[in-house]
Amino acid sequence: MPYSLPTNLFGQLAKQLPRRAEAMLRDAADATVIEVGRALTETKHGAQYPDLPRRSSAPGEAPATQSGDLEASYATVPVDSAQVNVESDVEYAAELELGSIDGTVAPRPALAPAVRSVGAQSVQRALKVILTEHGR
Amino acid sequence: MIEVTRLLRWLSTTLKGDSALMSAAPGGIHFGVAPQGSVYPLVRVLYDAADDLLGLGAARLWADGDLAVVVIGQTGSPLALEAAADRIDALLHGASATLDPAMIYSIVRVRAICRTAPAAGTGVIYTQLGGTYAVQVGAL
Repeated sequence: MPYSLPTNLFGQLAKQLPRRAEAMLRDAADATVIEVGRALTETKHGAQYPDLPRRSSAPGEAPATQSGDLEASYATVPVDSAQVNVESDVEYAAELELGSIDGTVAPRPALAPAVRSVGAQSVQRALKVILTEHGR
Repeated sequence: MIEVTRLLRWLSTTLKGDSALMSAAPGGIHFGVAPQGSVYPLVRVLYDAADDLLGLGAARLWADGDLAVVVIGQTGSPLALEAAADRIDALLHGASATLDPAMIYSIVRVRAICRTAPAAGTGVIYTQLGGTYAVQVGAL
């Protein structure tokens, strides 16, 4: 007589993972915006221009917060369950992040370091969740 | 030992020593920023340090970093910069070198860069073409 034994070792994991992954992705995107804000407001070491309220950033540092427009502009934009963009609609955001297009002004990256930092922490957190909740 | 300066010295020698690259990018090699009034196309190199990989105790196995190397031209067409960008990639991707007392273990391109935009203020269109290279450099 034919015999089969159903196995469903990953059933619960497979059901829960997509939902948890999406939630963790959104958390990571939110944390990236917070990290960008922190980087923009920390102490800078560039020039102090008389018409600006705060010391400007040195090359390689995140931009300094001056008007607050840049800091306020970063927002998360969900694309799908596997991607959330962190975007700024400020005209000069790309120029600061990547440096001037003609190569004469060095980059002041804020977003890329935040993505790197938060991304590494998020992957560790996700692995921990999987191991502690499903590793028994 | 600071590995980065050895790496940048090797880069300068390697890129400047390539006659095909120098004729395709007569503006020369610039680390960090190009000065105002530069001749284009030029090559711009940016180094961004990442984490060191440590072994036991203070043993440093190598320093990780990213090198963004692009040719920049006063053009809206990336095709106009293709020859110079090809030379950069031929010289860097897959390279390794012994630079006593340092050693470049690996340089590999991890991301292509192709960016065209008007310069703020002047509105002149520029294009950057090249790539970001992941570098591992350590003590020999």
